Amino acid sequence: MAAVPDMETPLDVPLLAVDDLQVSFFTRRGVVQAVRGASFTLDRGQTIGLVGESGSGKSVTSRAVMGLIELPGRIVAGDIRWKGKSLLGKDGHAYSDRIRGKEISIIFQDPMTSLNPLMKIGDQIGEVLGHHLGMDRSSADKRAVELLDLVGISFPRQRVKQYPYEFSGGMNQRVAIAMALASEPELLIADEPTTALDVTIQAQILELLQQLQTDLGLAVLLITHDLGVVAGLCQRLAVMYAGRIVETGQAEEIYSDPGHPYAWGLIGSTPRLDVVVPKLVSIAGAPPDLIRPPVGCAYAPRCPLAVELCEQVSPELIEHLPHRKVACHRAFDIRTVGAPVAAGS
Amino acid sequence: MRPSLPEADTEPLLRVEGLTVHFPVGRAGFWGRQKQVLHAVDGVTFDIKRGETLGLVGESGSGKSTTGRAILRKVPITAGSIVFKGQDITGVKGEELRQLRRHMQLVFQDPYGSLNPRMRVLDIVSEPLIVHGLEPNTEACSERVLDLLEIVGLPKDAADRYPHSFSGGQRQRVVIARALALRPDLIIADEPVSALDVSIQAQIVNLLADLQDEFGLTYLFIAHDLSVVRHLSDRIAVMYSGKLVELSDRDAIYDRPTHPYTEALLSSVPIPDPVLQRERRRVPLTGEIPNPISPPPGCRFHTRCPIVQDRCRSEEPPLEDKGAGSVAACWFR
Amino acid sequence: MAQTVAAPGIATPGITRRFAGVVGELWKDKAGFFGLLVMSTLILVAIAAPILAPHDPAAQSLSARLDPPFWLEGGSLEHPLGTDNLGRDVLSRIIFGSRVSLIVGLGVVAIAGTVGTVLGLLAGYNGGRVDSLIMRWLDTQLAFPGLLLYLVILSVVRPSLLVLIVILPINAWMVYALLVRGVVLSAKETPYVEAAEIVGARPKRIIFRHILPNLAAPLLTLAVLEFASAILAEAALSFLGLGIQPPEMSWGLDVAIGREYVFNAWWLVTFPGIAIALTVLGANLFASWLRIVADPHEREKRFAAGVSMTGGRGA
Repeated sequence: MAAVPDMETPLDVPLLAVDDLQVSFFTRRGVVQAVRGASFTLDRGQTIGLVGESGSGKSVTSRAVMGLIELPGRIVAGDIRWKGKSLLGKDGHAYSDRIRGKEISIIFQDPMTSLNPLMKIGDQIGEVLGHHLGMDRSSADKRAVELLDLVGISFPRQRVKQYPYEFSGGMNQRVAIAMALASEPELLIADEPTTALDVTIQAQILELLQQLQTDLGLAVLLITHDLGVVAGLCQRLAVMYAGRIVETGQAEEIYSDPGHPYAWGLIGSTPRLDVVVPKLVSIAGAPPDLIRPPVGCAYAPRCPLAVELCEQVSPELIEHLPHRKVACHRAFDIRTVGAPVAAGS
Repeated sequence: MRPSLPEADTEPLLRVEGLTVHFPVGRAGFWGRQKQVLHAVDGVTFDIKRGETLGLVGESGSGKSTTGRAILRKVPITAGSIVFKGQDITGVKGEELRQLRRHMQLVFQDPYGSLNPRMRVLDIVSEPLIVHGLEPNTEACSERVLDLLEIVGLPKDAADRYPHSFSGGQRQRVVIARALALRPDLIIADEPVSALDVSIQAQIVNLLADLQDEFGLTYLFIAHDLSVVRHLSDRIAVMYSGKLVELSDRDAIYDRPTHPYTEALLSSVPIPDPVLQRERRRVPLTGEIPNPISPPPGCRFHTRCPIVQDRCRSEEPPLEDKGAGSVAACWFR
Repeated sequence: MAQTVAAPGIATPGITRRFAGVVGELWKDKAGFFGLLVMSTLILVAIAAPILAPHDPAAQSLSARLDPPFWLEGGSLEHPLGTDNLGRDVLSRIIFGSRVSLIVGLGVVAIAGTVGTVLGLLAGYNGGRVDSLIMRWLDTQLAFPGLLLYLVILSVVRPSLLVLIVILPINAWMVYALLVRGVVLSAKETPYVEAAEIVGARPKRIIFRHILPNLAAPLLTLAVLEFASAILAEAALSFLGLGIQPPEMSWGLDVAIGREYVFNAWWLVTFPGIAIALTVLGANLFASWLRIVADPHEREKRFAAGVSMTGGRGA
């Protein structure tokens, strides 16, 4: 239903293009450069995982796409284009009002961010349907039931009359997903959608997202800190560190053969159920303070391969292999150190 | 001072027997005559040997944290007993309880909230030494603190700084240093890494492992999934809705999970490998965790269990030895 | 755009720099600065009253009754703000009247603050029966109008400065107790207080080292606000004749005296009235600034708002 390609935009234009995005937060301590030039594109029906640790700028990037950057934060440079047209600036204003919340939806870590605790969930979904699709009351009610059914809520006819507090966290996240899907979006941004949930519930939600993605042909931008969560869901991966994207490519290629030492370290330090290692690989040190980001590569102080050049010149995100971009002066040299996890899975 | 008898080695450091913690949560009914209780922990029995690490795993509401806090005597115990170093500590209070604190310590989940933002690291880490009068000499006390900071891998100048100037991982090191200051026998680590970034988690897990080797510590390591505990634990206990459902040797849990809940939990943890993860089959688990105010009769897991049968709905399965290092509570495994 | 923070200062000691920072911030917040200015003026004037006052405030002069302020016809710089019905200098009376206001304000804050804080601490930290006892008492008293209580007491006891300082806290303690209890309850739940308990700290240490420091900022803010309301209460009671008694002087009393002459000598009510209003306003402005400074979130919001106005230049 959602993925009908619209005829106005040529197919070679990506659905979403984030181009050298820079977002800063003006705090009393100084200017925090949360995103320092992030670029990536997303095509129709594609899933991309934006992976990074806290403070890497992954959530800020997704919020910028959604137009949710609030003071003290501001987009200071770069562009965000939807089907080739900018969502930013004076010209983008009217356009983005039409796009955000309609063609692009978002779900958050805490489902209550998007739910109104004082409104029946059926009415909340109906409101979205009325606003974005101009549905009348009775067809909106019918559609709300269908949507709840779609996200796997049993007895949807009874459930539409209930309030969010009558649901558990996992159920509310399903409701939030139903609401995000109500406007028939082409892109769903999922910002740590399962971080607050228990593992067994997380698995259910991830399965739901995967199924919806295939059934509806949705494009999904998944923001997460958990490499396990992306592994099952995303075809492509973008790894962020200290406000920059350090590596992009096909998920399985990055997992099996990371080009950036940070991606390598991140994969190695993720505890795995299926492999016992005598000692977990850990990355020494901590991410840099983004008030005074390093001149060179932000990862250089923690990088086992860092050379003098790394500390002086910040590496560009360059295509080293087909469809594999890495921002590292010593891209793929990490292969010499070994696989990211101890062999023998 | 008790002479170390040979049997002291076989006696567990900690023995928890039939531990039950119920919290009153209010009243129901029109006149408020029915008292409602939240069944946080219901009849949990396990022991921990000296130098061992027991991983305690469960989802939210399973009672894992309450179990930890009950052992520390931070929550009122409804029934059961806790025997620590051969002494029944179920009922100790006042000064006796304060003295007990010297021997068991807690590492918190939240490294941001568990350090007083108004105190320097020196004051935070020396507090246990001061309140127990272990180091009356100020000079020697700061000397000890500097030693502790070095042990947990913090720079010397950390002592004079305030918690806000540290990252999450460094704060957790401060928390560990404070717990270590009293040279406790038992450390209860309540999700010590779940608030940290992955690359930092590994640092802290490795630090805890090193400290165990160096000081012969005993850990009760509480976690919400099975991936982190694998790297530290000798045995793993799985809790579900206030009950212990499985208590097995580490390898037995991962290779041959006995309880269907353990199996489901294992299959729910995503593996960070796209090829493997896409091929994995999850044990389908529908439904939600039962309400702890009115837990279901019989096996608590029967509402979600894929192999449920009639017996499970009425009779509660006992925790019994299933062979090959597995102890589980299930009628049909 | 990417501007770094101000260059690290020349090795100034931390405390001095922090103090300078706070004063600098105060200067930026004009209303707060005005509040501080009013408060410090009040204190200085009260202390230096004998030096500053041009006349003896009690000295009567039958030849100079109801003289207008100097800028009106018939006024002179001898009595800049005019004289009252007994020929006493209005300016000098205001200057000396500030002493009463200051003493009442400080005295009431000290007594009510101490009693309220102790009871709030007891209720919040112990909980259980102590808590319900204190809270029920407080609820009961809250339901009783404070002014009526004062009137009942003052109809029995002969009013004086000391009596005022003793009876005003009877109502004023409650807000401290409520505030302290709230802060203690939330501080008690913080993990670091739990950590202190688990480490084996005794209750006394937990209260003084871990809980009380959380109270400093909110208590200070409340004290400044309550200082203003104590001054207002004193003025009101004195105006009603139930507070400070002549020949002592007080702003409220002066307004009461001037009330009879309001149509032919407006300055009698106006100037003491302005003194009262200015003091209360100043204290309130200062308190609201304190509240913001003590709250990191508020500070951050203010800073961000400032940035957006100046066009995005940092620090």
